[in-house]
Amino acid sequence: MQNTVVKIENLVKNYAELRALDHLNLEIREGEIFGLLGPNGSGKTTTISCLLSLLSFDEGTVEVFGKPITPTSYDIKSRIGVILQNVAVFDELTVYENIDIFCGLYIKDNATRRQYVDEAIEFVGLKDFVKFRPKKLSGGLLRRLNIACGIAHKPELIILDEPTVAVDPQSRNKILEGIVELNRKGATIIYTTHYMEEVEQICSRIAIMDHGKKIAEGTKDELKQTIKNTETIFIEMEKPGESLIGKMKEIPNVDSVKYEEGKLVISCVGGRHNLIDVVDVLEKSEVGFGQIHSELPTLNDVFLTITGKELRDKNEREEEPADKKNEKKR
Amino acid sequence: MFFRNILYEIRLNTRTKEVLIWMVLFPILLGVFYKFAFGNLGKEMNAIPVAVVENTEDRMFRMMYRKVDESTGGMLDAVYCPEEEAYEKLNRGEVAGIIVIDSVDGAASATSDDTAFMAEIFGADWDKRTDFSEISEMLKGVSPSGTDWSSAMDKMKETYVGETKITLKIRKNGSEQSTLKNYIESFVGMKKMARDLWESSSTGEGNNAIENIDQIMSGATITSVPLTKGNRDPFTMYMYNLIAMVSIFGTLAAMHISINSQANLSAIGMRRSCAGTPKSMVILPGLIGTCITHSGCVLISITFLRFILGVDFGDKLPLVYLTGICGAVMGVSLGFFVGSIGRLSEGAKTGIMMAVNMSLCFLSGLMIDSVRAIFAMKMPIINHLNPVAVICDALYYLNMDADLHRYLWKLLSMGIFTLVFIVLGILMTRRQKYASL
Repeated sequence: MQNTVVKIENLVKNYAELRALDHLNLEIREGEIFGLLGPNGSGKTTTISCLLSLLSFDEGTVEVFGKPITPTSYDIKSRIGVILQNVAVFDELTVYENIDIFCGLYIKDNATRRQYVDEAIEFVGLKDFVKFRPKKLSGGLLRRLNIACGIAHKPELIILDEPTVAVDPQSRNKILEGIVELNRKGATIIYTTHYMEEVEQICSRIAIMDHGKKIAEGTKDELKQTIKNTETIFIEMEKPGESLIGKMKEIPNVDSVKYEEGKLVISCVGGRHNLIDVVDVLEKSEVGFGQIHSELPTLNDVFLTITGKELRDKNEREEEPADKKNEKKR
Repeated sequence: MFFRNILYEIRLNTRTKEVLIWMVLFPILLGVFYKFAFGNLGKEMNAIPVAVVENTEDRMFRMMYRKVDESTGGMLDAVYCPEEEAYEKLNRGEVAGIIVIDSVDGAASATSDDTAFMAEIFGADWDKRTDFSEISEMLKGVSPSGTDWSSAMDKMKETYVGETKITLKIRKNGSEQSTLKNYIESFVGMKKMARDLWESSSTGEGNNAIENIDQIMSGATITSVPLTKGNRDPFTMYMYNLIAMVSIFGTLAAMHISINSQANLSAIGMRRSCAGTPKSMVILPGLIGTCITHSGCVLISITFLRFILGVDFGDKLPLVYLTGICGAVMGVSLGFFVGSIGRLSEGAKTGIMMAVNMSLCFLSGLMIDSVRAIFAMKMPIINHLNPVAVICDALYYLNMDADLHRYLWKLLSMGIFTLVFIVLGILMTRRQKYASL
């Protein structure tokens, strides 16, 4: 059985009247990439801050590597790498110097530190930019520098708090690949985000949070199995007649059919290849239609099913990188 | 790790444009501006005109006046006149002040009845001496034996160092009046010492006592507030303020130390708070590194003022540099303390600190040179509590005083300020957990 790296029990954190964490329980095992998924304000960053002993909390316990963590648990902290939501680097120092100054907070031996810094630079692909100052770096490169500063000392536990916010698709993929690589080398990863695609892509286990509570936990397949919807088909068309809607409802596995925003939306609750039957009905009915695509259930559907709301609101969706929107079309 | 962090701190500071602009470029430009604007003020300055009203004769005052006049090449331009005329001169602005010498009630004085007796012992012109060395010479030929010797020495004492009351009357405050005040304080101190020496002398040691007084008058054994040929021109006063301003600008350089070590103030602070290292390993090198950098900036400014603009800081330049360094350290500690207060952004804190710095500079006379003198007279506590004024005073005393007594007190004040700011700053930043981030 894998060792427990982080154990959070009944964690409660209040900000005046607001309960930010509500009896949160988490157990993260060695070698996992553990995703902490939730909308903005769900308590992800607060959880991380309590875990790092930066924030005081009202109730509960937090153990890291089997010991309660306190602000002076330097032995535990030296085994943790933190990549924060906000880029935390010095504008006046070069890429190399930034990684070196932060690595120096953990590694005392000069030769070892230099070696680790070089390896971190190599790992995040900033070799050509070592003498650049952060202001000269693009957003993606800056995020990579931020990651390098957090992982250069080769920590056993790496905590990444929304590291891909405002990053272009190419850099985002590079970052995600890097995280998987770090995990392959033995690091346990805690990854917080509100991008469900990222969590689905890299996390071995996921906890979904909302209003400071853990509302679901498991692998992505386990989570998806908790909802009845297995496939959703979208058809661009004029508003259909009742007869067509009736025919669609007669298709096996179809659970519901509704027309919204110029699209016919068909939810299926069995099997994952219902598109052929739907197209067949459309052709037989001789109805004109535009684009047609199907979506397999996502963690957003899981979130929607549990909470009755979207994981991200409309504005957040519009801000997300273009490639994420494309990924939905299969 | 500690020394590496110091080096990084120095690197950070020297690469920060704002630091270089405010700590090096701005004072140099301001110095050049002052040079053009006020550079001729000192050259136009002559000896300080003063009216002396002698309601009673004070020989020692006259002797001291002559001594100081010889050693400073004409520091005061004294006019002996009746009181009414003196006030007229003061009202017309012809003199900077009036020195009034009055007799003290109940004080002993030489009487004409004694004249024959004294002449018998010391010679006919026993009361015409103008220097203690002459008095000493006069006493050499006289035998100390005999019952009248003690009485004769008492008469001599009252003639030359008899008790008087010295008052300074002024109409306004300024550097000239401040110098006159120093002059009077110095004289009163010296005279008291002379009397004490004379009174402590026994019959057989009178001659030795007078030799000692002569030494005091020469400034050799003085411990009170003597006067030197210090540079009193307003331009130099502005330069003191300028150095004080550069020193206190250390606040701007140092605020980042506390901001970058607290998780609730910056992302870097958060990262550092997560590290497996105590905060002291970040804060102390930060303070040391910033002190080094800022001291360097202050030294550059002083060197520029002294050797490029030719400002006369007197003959104690190494101590001027030391004062600059102490001021820089005090500025850094103040910045560290302010940086640790509250949750404002670094930009907002910089703005507030800049306003505070300029206000302190104004109160110390950076913009109007008489402001500090006004506070010195009306509310001296303000000058004692204003770090900029403390630096200015230290530089002023260094230049004006022959000894380092008052200067060292100001240096001690700086040390106390520094200690208080650092302790308060550490108390604020040592917090390990936060209620919110």
